[in-house]
Amino acid sequence: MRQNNLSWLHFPIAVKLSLTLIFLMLLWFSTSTVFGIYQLKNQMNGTFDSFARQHIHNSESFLVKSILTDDRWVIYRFLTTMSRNDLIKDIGVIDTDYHVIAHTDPIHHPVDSLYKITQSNRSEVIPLQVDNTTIASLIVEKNSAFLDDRIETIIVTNVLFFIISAIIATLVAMLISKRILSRLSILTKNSELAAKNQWSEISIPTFREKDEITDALDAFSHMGTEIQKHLDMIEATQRFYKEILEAINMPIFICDTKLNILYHNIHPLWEHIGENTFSTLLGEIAEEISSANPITLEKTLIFGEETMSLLFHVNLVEGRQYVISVLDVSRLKELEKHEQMAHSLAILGQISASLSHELKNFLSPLKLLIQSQQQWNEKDRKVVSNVVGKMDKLLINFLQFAKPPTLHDSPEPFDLAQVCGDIVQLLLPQFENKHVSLQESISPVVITSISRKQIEIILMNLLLNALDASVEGSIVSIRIDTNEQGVELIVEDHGSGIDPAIQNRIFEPFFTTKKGGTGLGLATVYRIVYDAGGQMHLYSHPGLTRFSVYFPYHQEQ
Amino acid sequence: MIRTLLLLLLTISAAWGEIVFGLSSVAMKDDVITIEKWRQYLSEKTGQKVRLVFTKNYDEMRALIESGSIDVAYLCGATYVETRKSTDLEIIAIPVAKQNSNYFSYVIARKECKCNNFLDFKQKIYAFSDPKSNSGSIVPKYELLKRGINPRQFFKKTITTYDHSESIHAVAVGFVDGASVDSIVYDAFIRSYPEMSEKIKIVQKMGPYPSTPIIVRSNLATKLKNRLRNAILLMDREPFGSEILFRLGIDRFIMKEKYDYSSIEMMMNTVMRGDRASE
Repeated sequence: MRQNNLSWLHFPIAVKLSLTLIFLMLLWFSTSTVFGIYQLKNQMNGTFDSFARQHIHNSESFLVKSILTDDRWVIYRFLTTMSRNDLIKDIGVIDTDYHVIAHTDPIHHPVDSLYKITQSNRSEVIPLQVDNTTIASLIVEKNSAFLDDRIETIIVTNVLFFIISAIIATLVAMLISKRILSRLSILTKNSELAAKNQWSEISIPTFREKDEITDALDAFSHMGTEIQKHLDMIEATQRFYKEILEAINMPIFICDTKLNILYHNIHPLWEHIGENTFSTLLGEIAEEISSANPITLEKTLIFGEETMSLLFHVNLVEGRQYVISVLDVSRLKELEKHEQMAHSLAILGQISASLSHELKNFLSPLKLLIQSQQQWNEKDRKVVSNVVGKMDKLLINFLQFAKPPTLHDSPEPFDLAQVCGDIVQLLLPQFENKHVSLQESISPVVITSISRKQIEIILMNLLLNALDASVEGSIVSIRIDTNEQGVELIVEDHGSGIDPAIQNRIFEPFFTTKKGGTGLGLATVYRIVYDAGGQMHLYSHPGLTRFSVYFPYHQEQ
Repeated sequence: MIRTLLLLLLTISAAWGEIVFGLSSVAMKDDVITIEKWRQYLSEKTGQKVRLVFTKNYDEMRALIESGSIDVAYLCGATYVETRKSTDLEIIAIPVAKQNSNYFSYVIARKECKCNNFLDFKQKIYAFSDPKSNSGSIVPKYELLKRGINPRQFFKKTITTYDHSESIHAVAVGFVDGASVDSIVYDAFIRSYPEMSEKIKIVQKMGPYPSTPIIVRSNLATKLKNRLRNAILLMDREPFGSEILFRLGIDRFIMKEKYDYSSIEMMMNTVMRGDRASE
């Protein structure tokens, strides 16, 4: 319903049309009235002038004669005849001394009384002359009442005509607007039906008029047909994609930006877990969902006695809706766990076998000495000390590998560059002894994802391996690069490189190419890096070997 | 000789052609319907066509009678007195009004006039009808002269209307303060315009004087004279004639054995002497 508003913009069309027509008519009538009055005045003045002068001119000789013979009653009768004209109120004749000879108003202007001529538009003085000598004057008083009556008649007539015209205009305006609005109301009604999707109820009646409104109705009808076609197409498309979604063998649901579930396909998992549980899960990962797009999250769900691992892949489409697919990876996780266990057991077995093998090798000469039952001489004691020393070293390295230092051992933050500098200074004599240059490109950076001890072990192993691989006069470089997420520690040497066939094995425990090596150095480095949440990469070809170790600034909880 | 022949011709033409009826201000010229009816009546009764002639003044009437242009005329008494001096005239009828064969000279004024007699019009504007009219001019002048008053100095201004009806009009519209008019004409006027009785009043009645006669030229054919006389005298005997008489303000026309206009003649002479004295 249109609000009550006194602004003319809110008036109904019939009122606007009526007011417009009435205003135009008022303008017309008022203009014509003013013009008519003006014309009337001019016409009456002109008529008066021409009448008076013509009459006087025609009767001048008669008047003159009557004046000269002092035939006053005759003059009076003549004046009376003249004054019968509507334009004239009174006429009089005065002599040159302004005394009344005769006047049609003898009561106010008796014979021989003095006539006072006033400056007025209503009186006209016409001299009566004989041989260019004025013998008397005619005083003609205009009938202003007649003019006023005519003006009043004009005004009243125009007002009456205006009123009648205004009434007719109002009726015409109402008729025209009714005719127009009745057709527009159909357009309005059809628009409302279209908005309510009630296409079947839309009607397009035919009208006799063929104007812009009919064109609009036809255009609307055409638009409605096209819209209906598009809606049908959209509906068909929706059904098609819905069927696709239903055919996909994973739960898929669509949420709004507030993670209210708008749609979900039919899947046994959905029915098994239920909408409420899924909604709760969405609530738990809401913050993570908003942090990145798209995002894949793993969520563990304890559902009764069942523990499920669910992988949520969330994609925000057009900033309006989330499309979430759920993959049940519980079985995969289980398999992974078994595989990890098996692999761990295999590694353990391998490590145990290697350690056993090494220890067996070290124990063989001792066994011989013990079995010989001879007194040990100095040489025998040296052999025993040497073997025990190697066994000790092996066990120390193994322990270091088996239980390397952790972040908790020294959790305080430290400057990586400072630690690198300390280690470089410690190893510098060995590098100088072998005539190998050690180049540094390190800048201060504080990390907390790894402990100082851990970095020392890493640097010691990588730099000593680089020194072993380098020849005299070559260069070993150590570099620290940083980016937004973390730090990269790079150690390069320009030795002969690592054979590609063994590059995959160099991080295995007890794998070594060095004579006398334990094979645990790089394995320990690898484990430390892995435990710290970092990554390690090897790039090697003849002439260049590069170990890259990446750490985040802070370890994730 | 030639004049005699002309008169004879006129007489003959009058006998066999039209009758010229002269009317002066003793009849209301503006009551043209009544006058026309009177013409029709006379035509019917005389069996001859009657043509009316209106004269502007009594002098003109006299001139036409003297020239024989008019056969029968309705005259003022003073005009009769003056004309009979030069022309043989015969009175064929005189009017009787209000059962009186004499008539009066009325002094009239507007109702609001604070005047009680003729002498109250001193230094007023006064209307006379014809200068030769008995009731309209001679009587009032005589009344003044016999009181030793010069009529030319008594009034502020005199207006000559040449017609009793016009004098009455002049009083009614206020053009003049007063007027002297024929009583018969005044009565007929009031009968024709009864609303005028609201505007004007009779201030004074002067008279009686011998009535205005209808005369014919003596040399008119006797038969014609008789037809005219009979027609006029018998007007009251029939409806058409009565209607005309009523409109004229006349009861009937009568004939007398003797008509005495000596009073009028005396007043005329007095006024003439007065006019000469004041010139």
